[in-house]
Amino acid sequence: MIAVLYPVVALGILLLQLLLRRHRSLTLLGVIHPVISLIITLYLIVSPGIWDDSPFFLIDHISLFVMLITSIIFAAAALYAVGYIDGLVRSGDLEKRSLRIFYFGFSFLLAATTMAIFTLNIALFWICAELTTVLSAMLIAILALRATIDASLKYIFICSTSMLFSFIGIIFLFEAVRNKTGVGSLLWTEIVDEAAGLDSGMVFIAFVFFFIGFAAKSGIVPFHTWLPEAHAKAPSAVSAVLSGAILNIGMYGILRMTGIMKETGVFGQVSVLLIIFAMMTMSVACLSMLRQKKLKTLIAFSSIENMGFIMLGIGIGSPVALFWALFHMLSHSCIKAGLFFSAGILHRQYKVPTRTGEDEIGDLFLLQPFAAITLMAGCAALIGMPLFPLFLSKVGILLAATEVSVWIPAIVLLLFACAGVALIRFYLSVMAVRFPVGEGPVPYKAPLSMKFPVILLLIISIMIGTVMIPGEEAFLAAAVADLGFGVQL
Amino acid sequence: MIGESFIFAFLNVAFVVVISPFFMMVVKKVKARVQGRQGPHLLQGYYNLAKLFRKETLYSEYAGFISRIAPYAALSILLVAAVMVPIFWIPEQELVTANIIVFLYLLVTGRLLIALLGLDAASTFGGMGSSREMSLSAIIEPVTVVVFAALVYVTGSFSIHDIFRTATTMFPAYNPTVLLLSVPLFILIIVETGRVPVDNPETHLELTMVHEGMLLDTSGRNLALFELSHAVKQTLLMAILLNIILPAGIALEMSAGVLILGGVLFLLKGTVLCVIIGLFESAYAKMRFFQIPNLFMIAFFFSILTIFIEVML
Amino acid sequence: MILTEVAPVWIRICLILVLVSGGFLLSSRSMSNLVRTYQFQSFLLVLIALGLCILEGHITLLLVAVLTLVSKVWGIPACIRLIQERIHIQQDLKFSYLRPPGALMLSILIILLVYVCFAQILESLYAASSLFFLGSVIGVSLVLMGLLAVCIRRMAISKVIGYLSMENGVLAFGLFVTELPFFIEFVIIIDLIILVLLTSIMTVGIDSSIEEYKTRLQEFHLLSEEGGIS
Repeated sequence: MIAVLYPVVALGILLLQLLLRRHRSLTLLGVIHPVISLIITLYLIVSPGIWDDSPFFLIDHISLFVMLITSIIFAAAALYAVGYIDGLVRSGDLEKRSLRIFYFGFSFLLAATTMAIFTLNIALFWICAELTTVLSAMLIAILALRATIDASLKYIFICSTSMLFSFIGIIFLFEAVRNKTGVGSLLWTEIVDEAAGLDSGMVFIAFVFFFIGFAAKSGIVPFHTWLPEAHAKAPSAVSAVLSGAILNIGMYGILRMTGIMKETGVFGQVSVLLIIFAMMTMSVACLSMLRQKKLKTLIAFSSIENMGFIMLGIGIGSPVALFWALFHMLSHSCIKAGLFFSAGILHRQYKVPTRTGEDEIGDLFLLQPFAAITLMAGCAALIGMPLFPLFLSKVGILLAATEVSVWIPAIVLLLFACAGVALIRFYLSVMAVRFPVGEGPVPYKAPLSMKFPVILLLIISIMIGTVMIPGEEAFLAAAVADLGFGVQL
Repeated sequence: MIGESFIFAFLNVAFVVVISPFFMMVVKKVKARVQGRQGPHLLQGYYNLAKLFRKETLYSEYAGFISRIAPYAALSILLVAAVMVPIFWIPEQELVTANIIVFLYLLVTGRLLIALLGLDAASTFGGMGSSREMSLSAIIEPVTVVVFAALVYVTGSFSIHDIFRTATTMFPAYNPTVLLLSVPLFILIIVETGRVPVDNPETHLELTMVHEGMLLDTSGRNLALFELSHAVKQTLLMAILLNIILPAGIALEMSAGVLILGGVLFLLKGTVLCVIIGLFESAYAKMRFFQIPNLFMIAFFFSILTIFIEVML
Repeated sequence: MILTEVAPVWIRICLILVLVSGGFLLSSRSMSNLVRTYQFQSFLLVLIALGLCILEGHITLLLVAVLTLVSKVWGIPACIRLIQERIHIQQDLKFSYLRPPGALMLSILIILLVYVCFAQILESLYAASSLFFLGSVIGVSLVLMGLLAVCIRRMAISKVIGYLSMENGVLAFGLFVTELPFFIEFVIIIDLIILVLLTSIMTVGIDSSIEEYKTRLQEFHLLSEEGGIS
């Protein structure tokens, strides 16, 4: 029954946010909500005995894992938002009456994501995923500028129309189960049990349709067109949440569905489909990164690339690949959120209106040494330097990929090299710019609430990347087993 | 029997020729009434034809043999087509092959002759009308072919006689295909007879003319023949639509009472359809020329959908 | 009963008219015609639900019909008309990528493609009940035609109506699956309401904050006092 605390706490916080008025109380509520979620999740992780006590929630290793990632990112973003939103309000970009909408939307988004992860019913999962789309679109458009509204509308349209295809897939799945058992089912657990004898044609169509929606949510090519704009135009706290938590919902859906497909006879075709789309995604993302001149768009394309890589791991389908795919999810979220936070600090510094309308970064180490160093660390982490966890997961998945075809690791390494070059080139280009004396912007003093989450996420990344927390390996292996992919490592 | 077929041919053609000017006037009367005018007398069409037959026929100095033979050729082609479409009586044996595709291309040949006529007089308006008419004809042809193909597919035969005969045994409400087909057939009538929204038959502005533009240089007997063939074409297409949707009352045997009943019923049905055409024309404005393919596209969509549904059901 | 005999025919006619209305959504140029076409489409779905209820006797279908009637035939068009009054635009003349004739051709190809794919992959069920097959083909075709409408139309409101017709397609598809739990319909309604609300806020926001853009530009000293861009 502990899991009931999730919606109860969420409801309480949402009500309070509707009632209270002061900015400080709203921010405090905004931070308390994800922190409480994090505490509940940690408690559930360490006490596996009480999982079966909650009949309406699907509590197993994989959902707890994704919830852990979500609550860490939300907590960090809420903490970061304390200083960031304050700065936005002070400079007039955000109006006071939008503040309540922002915090309400933020908490509601966390509540919707929680319900999506923990629900037993596929249709409820679909509804909650749609809710997250709508709420995050609202958060993206919070600044009420024409560009942000356009980006937000594009996001809603692409994701919602694709989600409709997912719904058709769910109906197909329901019908397939009904053909086999006489009474259809919409519960994850029951469908996995019945999956073995389902009609292969119908279940493959169901997967293809289902895949379309959740691939759009995760930013898989060719449904990725909303992602760069949405991430670039949104406030950095929201971008971090988008990249770190909401993209994972799409992957979570694809994960569970692939687990169902593993039991049926079409897993081979499903695997090929996933690998093809993953390769396409990574190619488009890495090659596009070479052309980007703006920091947040660059980071957004890197998100697309990493999501493609996770899907490659899922597509390969061996237990090792899935283990490292889950690991990649966690590490990518932490590092990407940290990067977006640093980019946000830089944006606050350099957002003086220019002729081109873009931030012109210069005198980087002089004005913002903290952000410069964390940006460098983040870029290094994204490329896959050994101290950071992405190195481990990349090596793991690529080694598993050699079993499918040796061309996959070859091409992927080439693409990673392109991405690395893009990141390094961007960083070098901004590092070297110096403003003429007296023309640079006023140094911006980032408050501690903006710096602390970045440091925290960096420390978490380095910790995951260097040591295995006791029980982590077993937990992830159990998650892989939960999906139905076997236990040998 | 051959005798019966000859009687059928004679009666059919006579009926069509006699009834067509009346139907044209019904449409004009409805349009006039909607516009708040009295409109022409219902028998005005006959008076007009009589007047035109008495008048002198003038030819332009550039006109060649086309201007002299096209009126007669066009009417003859349409009268042959009239033999193929049973109006109120379906005989047991066809006199000429009543293939629906042959019917379609007879109509197209008539149209070709008129288009050549428009060019023949070496007037700019005639040439303009001809080019517009031929481009519209080219675009509507796939629609027509698909509509007729759907008809053939539903009823299972190429002969118009057989199609009508099958239609008398089917009740349209149970066959969604036939109901659906009525829409593209109606649009076909509008297009082939050059009515609003495709072309305004009552315009006197040469720049807006499509059909009338080609007839600008005809006069006297030739004009009368063209008017008659235009009216006959409308009646034949109306007959196809009516005898498929509402086949009630068509005579299947040669007996005087049934024939007369069939004739009267067709008169009534035709009048109702003309009223509908008149109301439809009054409800819309003439479309811009380049928007007309949109209308055709919708008709095409309908007809392809009809074939799909037949296949899928 | 006569009703049970007529019901399959009426369902088939309504399904065909649903596809036709989808075709009109792609080519209509007037905003009020668009909304009316959407209303007509939703009404056809109500009729289909009623027909299926008579055929198969599930009460949930009746509830679905009533809910669709209230929300999609009355409620959502009323919302959209409200939005239309605030943005005074009567016509949607611009199309991107494809004009209506080409779009209609493409939708014919789509219907054909969906039919062929489903016929191949659903061989086991095709023989079982042809009404399900027809319903699924038309439902998925309507979804794809709605997607085409979203892509080729320029105005946000028209895109929203395209999206709404996609949801209609999903509903049409779901109606033919028996014993679908009722709350699916309820869920789609909530989803639609949220979407329409949000998009209306945003589209009105684009339109009404033109003045605010000017003040923003002035604030950033990008707009000189006389009104030109500096």
